[in-house]
Amino acid sequence: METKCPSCGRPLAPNAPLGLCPECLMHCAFPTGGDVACGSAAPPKSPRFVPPKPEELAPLFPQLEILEFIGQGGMGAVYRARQKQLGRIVALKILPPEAAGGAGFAERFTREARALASLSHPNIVTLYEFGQADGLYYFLMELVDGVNLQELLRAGRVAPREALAIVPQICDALQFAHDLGIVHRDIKPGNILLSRRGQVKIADFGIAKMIGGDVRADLPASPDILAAQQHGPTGVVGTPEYMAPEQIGHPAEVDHRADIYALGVVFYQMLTGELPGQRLEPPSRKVQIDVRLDEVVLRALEKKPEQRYQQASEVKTMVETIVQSSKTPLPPPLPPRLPNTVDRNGTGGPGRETIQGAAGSWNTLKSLPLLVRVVLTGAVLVALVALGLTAFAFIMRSGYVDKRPLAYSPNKLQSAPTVAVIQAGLADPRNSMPWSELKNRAQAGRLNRNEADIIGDGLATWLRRNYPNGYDWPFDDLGG
Amino acid sequence: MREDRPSPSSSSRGAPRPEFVTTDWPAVLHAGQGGGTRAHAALARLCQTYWHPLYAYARRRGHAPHDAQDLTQEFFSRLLERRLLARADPLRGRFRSFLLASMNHFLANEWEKARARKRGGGRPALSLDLAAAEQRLEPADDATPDKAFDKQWALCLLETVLTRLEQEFQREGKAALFALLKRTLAGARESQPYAELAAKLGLSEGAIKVAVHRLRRRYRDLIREEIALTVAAPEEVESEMRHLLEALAG
Repeated sequence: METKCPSCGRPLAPNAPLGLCPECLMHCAFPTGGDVACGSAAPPKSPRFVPPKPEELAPLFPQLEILEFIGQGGMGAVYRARQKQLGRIVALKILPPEAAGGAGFAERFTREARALASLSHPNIVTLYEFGQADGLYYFLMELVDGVNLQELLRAGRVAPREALAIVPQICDALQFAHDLGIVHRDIKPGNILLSRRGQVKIADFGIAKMIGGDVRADLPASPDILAAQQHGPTGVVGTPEYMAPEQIGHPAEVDHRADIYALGVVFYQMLTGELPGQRLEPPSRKVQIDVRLDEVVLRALEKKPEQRYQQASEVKTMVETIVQSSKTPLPPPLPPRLPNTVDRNGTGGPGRETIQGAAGSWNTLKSLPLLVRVVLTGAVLVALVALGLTAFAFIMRSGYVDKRPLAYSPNKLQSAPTVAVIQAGLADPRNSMPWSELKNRAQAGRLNRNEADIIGDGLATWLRRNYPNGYDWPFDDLGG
Repeated sequence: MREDRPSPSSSSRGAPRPEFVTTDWPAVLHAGQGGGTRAHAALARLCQTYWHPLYAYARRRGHAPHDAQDLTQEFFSRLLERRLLARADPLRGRFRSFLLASMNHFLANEWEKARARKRGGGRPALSLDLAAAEQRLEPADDATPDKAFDKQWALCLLETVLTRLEQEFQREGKAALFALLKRTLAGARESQPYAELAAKLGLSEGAIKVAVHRLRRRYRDLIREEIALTVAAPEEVESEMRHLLEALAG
């Protein structure tokens, strides 16, 4: 099969229809009046948003030197320009005329642009100026020399180390804007820029709202918005894959937590290279990363806003805690197969083997799973933790005492994420410190259902594994 | 809906062009249950022809193959059950644009809810060859999903037309003729001079010229026929062709 079209010389793709050059085929489909050789007629161009050439823009912006066209995408065309007076290199972004034609646009434009101009932050692309030039709406913004996350993702995943360096900066930007009452509404890889110096810059704050108007997805889109969609800019009302469920269902009630959801999607995509699909698989199942990150990503992706992190800064703290603690020696790894979380390659630590030696004293205990079922349906969180404590009482009474130095101090446990504390507890059930901490959290109402499940299942697994002959349990004092 | 099949173009130059059928697909979509099975069948045929560009679109937007497949199936079953309210102004006329706008709307508003409801079971609306679809995808390039969609649409159209053409020739026992002459549809006159072709087929050069002429005529008729099914008025066929040509070039 040929690799080039014999007629026009363009390379032939493997999916070319019947092995023929699609463009030549299409040319040939035009009537030529007489049987002139196909392909010689060049059909006229149909109108669509063609970005003006720099020299065409120059008269509209006398204060600027338009240097070059950078690209078209998102919501307009971007050029590199120089402010003549200041001598500063900036980015000039113009909106396609179709996107800007709706009712009340001018008013929205001004209102939003003013809000954006107030966002002065190292991780947000600064807006310098905005307005209309000869009917063309434009922005003058900080020019970021680098790439956007979309381009990185096209190559596949982002290395976990990089992702963990990027996310906190996004959080800083979001928190700053949220504190000022500004919601981005269209966080996605295309809007996350990475400068050559490794700095993250979020672009296009509020632009979605500006163009989409009072975003009501249940109203029919006006023809000009649809035109904008067809001519290039996608996601005028946000990009569906990154939109929080409430943004889709009740756009009028959206608040800053929608940005947190979008952050979750981006985080997931960075780690795994894919969008979170129908079956939400924890990232550590797909990539070799710290299991504790699953909790962070999945919580940001909670369907209900009230179950997500409520502040972007919380996400940052979690990520940074995990990054920090992974630099210090870890407690003995989890026993394998912790249901509700993920499979790990780790095997049981030394502690487990020594406990098995004390198996004899557990022979009288009944099987745990029944208990777990009973407890979980009653959602008695404190009881669960008490269960754990009782377990240790038994262990302690059996005469076995752990003399190893503790990997976690009480202070560290207090500030560690719950999943980490649970893991520490399950890794070393003789150690009462993580369990005290968990009890405190349960009493303060800071343990959620999911965490209770993890504790219950983890204990069940661990006990089953270590006491295959069964074990008895004092059910009576637990109630529920 | 007007469903007269156009007669084969045996007319000499100067005779009126055959009437091209439009599906009147906007009416079908708005007709509700009273649309009639023929209209529905025509719409179903359109969907079966053009599902791949939508699949490619979903993939280009980042959905994994399995999700993209579910998405495409769900979208089309709603379309065919007429549960997708037309958001685009159908008087614009282009089925292609309408499909893209509807898909966007579907993605933005309904896909999330559909997933949540976990519609299991039931016959899928279309037969999708997932493996083949993955193979036909273009490698990721700079094209936005919209551009990728239009380009895939154009490729889909071309493939449909060429396949029809091939089948017509086969039915008339002229498979070899088609195989040799098909390159002339892509304008490659220089690489295969008529004299050579004539020799290969045991025909005179004059006969080859006539055969090529007829092939091109029939090809053009079929392309227009297929495009006409996706536009609201015959006058729009040419502008749609221009758009698709641009999409291929981009």
